Amino acid sequence: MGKEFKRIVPVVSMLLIAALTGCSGGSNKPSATVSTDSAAPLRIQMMSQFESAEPPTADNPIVKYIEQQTNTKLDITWVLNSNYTDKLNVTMASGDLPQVMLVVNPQDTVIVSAAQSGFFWDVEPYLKDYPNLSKLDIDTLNNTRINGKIYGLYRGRYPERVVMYYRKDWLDNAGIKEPPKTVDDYYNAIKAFTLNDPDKNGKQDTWGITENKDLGTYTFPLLFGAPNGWGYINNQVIPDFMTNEYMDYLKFMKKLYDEKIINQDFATVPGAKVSEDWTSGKIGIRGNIVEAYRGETFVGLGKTLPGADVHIIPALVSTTGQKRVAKGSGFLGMYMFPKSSVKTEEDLKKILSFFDKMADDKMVKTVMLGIDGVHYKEENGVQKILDETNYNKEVVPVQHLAMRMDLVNNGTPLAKEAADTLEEIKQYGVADVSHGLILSVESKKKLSTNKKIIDDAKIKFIMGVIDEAGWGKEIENWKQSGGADVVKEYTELYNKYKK
Amino acid sequence: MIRRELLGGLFTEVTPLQYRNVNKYVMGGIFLKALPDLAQNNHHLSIARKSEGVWAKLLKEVKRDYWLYLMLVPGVLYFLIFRYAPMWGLVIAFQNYMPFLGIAKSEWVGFAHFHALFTSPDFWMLLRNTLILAAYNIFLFFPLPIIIALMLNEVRHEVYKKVVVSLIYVPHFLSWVIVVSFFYFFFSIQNGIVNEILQSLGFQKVHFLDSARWFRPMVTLEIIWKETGWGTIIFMAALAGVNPQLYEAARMDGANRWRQLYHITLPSIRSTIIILLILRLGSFLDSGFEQIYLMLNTLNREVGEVFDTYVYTVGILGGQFGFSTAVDMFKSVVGLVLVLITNRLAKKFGEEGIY
Repeated sequence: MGKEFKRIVPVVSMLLIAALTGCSGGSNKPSATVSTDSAAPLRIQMMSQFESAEPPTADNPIVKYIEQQTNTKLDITWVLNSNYTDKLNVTMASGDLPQVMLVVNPQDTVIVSAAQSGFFWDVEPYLKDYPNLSKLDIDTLNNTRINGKIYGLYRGRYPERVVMYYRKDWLDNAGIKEPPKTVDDYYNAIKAFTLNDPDKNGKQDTWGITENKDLGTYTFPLLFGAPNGWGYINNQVIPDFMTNEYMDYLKFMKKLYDEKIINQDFATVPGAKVSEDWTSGKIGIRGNIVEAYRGETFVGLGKTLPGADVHIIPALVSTTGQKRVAKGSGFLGMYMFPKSSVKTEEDLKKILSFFDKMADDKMVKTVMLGIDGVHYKEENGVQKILDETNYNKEVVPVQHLAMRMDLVNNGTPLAKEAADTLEEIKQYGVADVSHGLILSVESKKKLSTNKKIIDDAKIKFIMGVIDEAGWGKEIENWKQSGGADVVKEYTELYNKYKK
Repeated sequence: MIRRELLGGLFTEVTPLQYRNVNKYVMGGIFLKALPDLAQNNHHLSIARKSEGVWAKLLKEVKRDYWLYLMLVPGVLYFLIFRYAPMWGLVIAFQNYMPFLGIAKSEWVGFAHFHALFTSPDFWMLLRNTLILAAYNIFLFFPLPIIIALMLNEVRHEVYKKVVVSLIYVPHFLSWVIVVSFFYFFFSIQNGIVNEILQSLGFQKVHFLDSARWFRPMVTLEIIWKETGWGTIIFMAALAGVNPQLYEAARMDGANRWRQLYHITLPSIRSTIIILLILRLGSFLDSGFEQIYLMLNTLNREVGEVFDTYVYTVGILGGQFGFSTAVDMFKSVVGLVLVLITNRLAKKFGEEGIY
């Protein structure tokens, strides 16, 4: 026994040492250089995101398909979308960078200052050489510019895409004849959905809408005539919350809160809760992007909630008389290429040619819908998902790789509504005048530290902790702690570039 | 690897709270046990120094006890690699650190970040919030495990005692996300059980989770619920080491239960209490990032924002790495100073201290 023990001890301690030093033995990542042999698959390290319950598996068939079609070996770090910015900043700080980084907000201080110091490849000169990349939308590309340069490839999205989904069956049950058209109708529907027991279970346990601590699930300041984010008003570029129209929005929200026709705990509720409330039949109205209609929680809601009949309202008439829809920048995140890991122009060109293939229509379709004949089938322009379970398991997790998000026609009546809506709301777009204007790093810092002041003040006003005078004080506070400088700088930039 | 570690305290998933606590307590235990031996060894060495060369003597010692030294290696390596090496990263507190330029090329700014911190209007708010929370922690939470350990020590029914101990330390193994979710479940203004009961009894609903007034009590209550049982174990272990003969002798002298508690039990675990207190003061300004971050919202931010959450917001989300490192460094320095002072005081009052 004793001898045996003596023999084991060194083995165990060596193992321990090995385990400890193994952890610290530097990164065992594959070499960052791109393989030069044209026949061998090109190895590309990427950092991208996912928002499904599980990250894509190593043998994901879609990734395999992409690799095979593009002759590449993809080494993708998947990061959950909700903490992507954390991980990105931490990765930036570590200096150990992948060749391709998905940057969700290219306006972030860290990214902008890195780009300004020439840390990323400027891809503009190369785009014209690629059949698909040369067709990228110039307006959207302009929105991605940092200091006048295009530092990456954007992932395209429809600029106007947020619409209102509602439960037609609830409307009927609550005794409302027509879907809401104006803000007043909207208010009445919210009230009826809360008080008239639209789910007919005899209990008052439903809401029209639920809000969360980030606010703005559908009730936007836009509906009250405020600008979309930043607006040019009285020769100044100012944020929406400095306008009187914004006060109307806040008062509307306060009314909902005071009349208890919105969830009373919204200040502590995380963003994802709204989606949960909708799928479990607790709310009858929610905002979402129009492309999402084909999801199980919209067109397929009837499967889990018998009788649920979901429809779309393209836009409400705002209190100022027009229909107004937020116009986005036309992209959601962009792929950027750090010079420290993509060493030569030749390497960059190879990676760009990979993305050129990714931007191909057929490839975009594959990433969104899966492999033709395996995950979906196309007939007469209608794309049917063959097996939802399989689709959710294999295709949905990798959808963030798509270079574009297109509206898919799945042949249902809601698909028709969605397509018509997409066409209709194009004309209602209200642009954010700050798009494409790049603030100095100093101002950016001010803006990001100041954001809290307004975010907190909004909720406090709605809950009645502060009144209108208190709100005014918070705005003053925002201006003094750097907000005024940002307004000044935006106005100068606007006069210089956009006037 | 090292550079990734350099932000030290910022990485909550790398050093979660419970892990830090385990480490702290276990280390405390080891120190406790090892102290007499260490003292002896030192004594031994100092004699050696007089007669022959230190190195030769050391070599001889290593030869003699090489098994012990070999077993020491993993621990030493751990501290060198994961605790000491990353400390070099602190230099970025004096730099305008740009990740892509690296430490070598980033601009040196001296104490500018510290100046910015101390003159920032946020600083006093952060310091006040952190200190008050720490005070709640020391005065309300710290004595509880001692009291419970003493109470359990008086329980003579062994099975009952063991069951109770097991039950109360289970919450320690739950993550903060779970604990805070429990509290949301109980105390939410909407459908929260406590508020529903209050309402049915005819009281007003209370904003437990979304008001400045209730933030500190709730946070402290969570800590008490989660960590009291765990802390109790340490004191139970210390109590188990008390020589039963002392009690017998006291009983012979006619001491009742209270007298025994006061004259034997408490003095016996006094050194444990003091060491744990010193160690606790070392992390006086650590508020426990996860818990506070989960509990924070708009309506309690004015009392809830602490250094830990501030470092996260400014450093990780805002990308001001140099500045947030300076904030964290300030925190660590305060912790170190507190440890030194209390250790000094402990020694002055005739206790052993931690070194």
